Amino acid sequence: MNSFLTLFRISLEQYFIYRLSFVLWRFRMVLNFLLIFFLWSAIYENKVSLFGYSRQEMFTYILIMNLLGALLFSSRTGDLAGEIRDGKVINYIMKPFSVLRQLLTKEAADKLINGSFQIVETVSIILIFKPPMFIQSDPFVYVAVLVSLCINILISFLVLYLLSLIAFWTAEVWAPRFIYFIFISLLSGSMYPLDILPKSLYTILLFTPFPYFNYLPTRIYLKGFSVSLIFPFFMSLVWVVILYFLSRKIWNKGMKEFSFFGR
Amino acid sequence: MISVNKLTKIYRTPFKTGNVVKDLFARSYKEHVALKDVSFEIGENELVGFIGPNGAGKTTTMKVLAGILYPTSGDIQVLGATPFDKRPEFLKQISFIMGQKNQTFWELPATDAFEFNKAVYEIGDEEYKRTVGDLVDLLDATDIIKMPVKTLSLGQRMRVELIAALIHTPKVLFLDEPTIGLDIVAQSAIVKFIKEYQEKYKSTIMLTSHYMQDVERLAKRIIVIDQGHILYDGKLDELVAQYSNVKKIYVTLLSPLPHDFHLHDGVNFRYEFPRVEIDSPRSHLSEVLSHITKRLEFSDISVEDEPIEEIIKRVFTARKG
Repeated sequence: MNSFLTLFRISLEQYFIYRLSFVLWRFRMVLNFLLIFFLWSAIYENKVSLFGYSRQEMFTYILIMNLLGALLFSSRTGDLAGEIRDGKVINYIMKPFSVLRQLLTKEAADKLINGSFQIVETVSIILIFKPPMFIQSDPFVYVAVLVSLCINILISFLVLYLLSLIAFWTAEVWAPRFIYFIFISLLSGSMYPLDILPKSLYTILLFTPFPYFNYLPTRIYLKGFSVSLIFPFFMSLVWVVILYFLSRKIWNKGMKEFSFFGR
Repeated sequence: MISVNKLTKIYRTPFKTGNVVKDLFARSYKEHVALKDVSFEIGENELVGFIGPNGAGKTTTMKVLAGILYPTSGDIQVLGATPFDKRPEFLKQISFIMGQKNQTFWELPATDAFEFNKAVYEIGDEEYKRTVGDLVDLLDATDIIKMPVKTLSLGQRMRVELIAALIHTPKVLFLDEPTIGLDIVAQSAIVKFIKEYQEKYKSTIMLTSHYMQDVERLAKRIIVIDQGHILYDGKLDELVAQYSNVKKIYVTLLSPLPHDFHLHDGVNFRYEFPRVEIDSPRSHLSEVLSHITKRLEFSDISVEDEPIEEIIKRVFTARKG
């Protein structure tokens, strides 16, 4: 426990060293969000409801998506790829504290910082632009959202971790990561609710990990936890299990095969 | 403490054929034998220096022993454990220090790294205080441990790095090029520290270094390795006795060398006024010296062992041929 707390504190301290780059990063995130916000404002101009979502629900959707996105996609796993390439990862391997746990601790610190900023930014946007907001009144829904969010954070972390492990075999780690984020922006529902897609496409998507980032918890918040969400919920659990075993297997394979030759 | 039996390590490295599709989907691999049937034993409180050119297999050997690399074949036991399993009890008793890759946090003072290691290695407050105090004293590092690591010089950084890596007072210590890139002063501070540390904590140390001086000053026993084979394993002085049968005589002349000056058959010398450098066989040393004192006028004369680098070079060429 002590190891976690110490590394967590150190990770937080590291953040405050590079304040400017962090502030600029957050600034970019706000601009990014405003773009989507104004896009939907234009689409809903003079309309009450579209694709089964009321104006109020749609604005709530994109605000919550964005809020959860900060928790889901902020990540330190990218560092790992570089550290595998230059051999610095040896320093982590040699500690009696598994690399996955060290990384999860850093990840938690990262999400705490990015998440807190995201809350402040979201509240400011609500206060400035006063979009119509839907407030969920069922306390059970909040619990379901939280559970789903935790599962999805694990999925997101494990996928990014796996993408970093590519570094054991090739130096080209950024291209797959970049392509992955393009898929995320298209298929995870960051820009629009996934259920406005044709039914068949939506069903196929449910078998992929993409709906199990910010889409599912946002959807639960808006529409409550209905029977139709049991399958997606189950699938998200299946993905955690698959990704966990896959990442263990690939890590072990990488450790065995990798030479650290000349590193 | 450490026992290595017929250790072989073969690296498979992807090999570019030039055919993009083939390189991407059906990679060809080239095999490189980094270590071949290497065997040795190291006892408690020994300090062994590994010597060999780049790519000889020094670092590979240490990485296999520390559990970083998976051996292709062979039997390796370190502290009664199989290193690659990396069990926590094993990891808590060893440390692997790399001159070029630091574990301290770049932006923060080294003390943060110390505290992290304190937690990871589960060290009590008392013990932590005592060990850090000792190490800081030995390395004269009181001020530098409070400064962000990025503001430290290379030599200072190596000092705090050593403290971070030794907080758990490991029984076995692997030092991979600990003095790389350091100036003479910093280098000898590190060497002095390693010596004192080993005496104080009775640890077993394996060391690689490009600087023969480091190895000469620290290791009584050396292992000379080249192309994955052990060429020599034994005491340093025995290596000198075995491979060096010449003494170097340096003479500084007062007047130029007479044209008819010559020495025994087979005794080579190099001359550039005012300096003469003579390689004298040990067996003929007194004759050569008396000949010099009779024939030459000089302001200075000295007799030395061959530089260790020369001897090692001879080990490489002798064993290869």
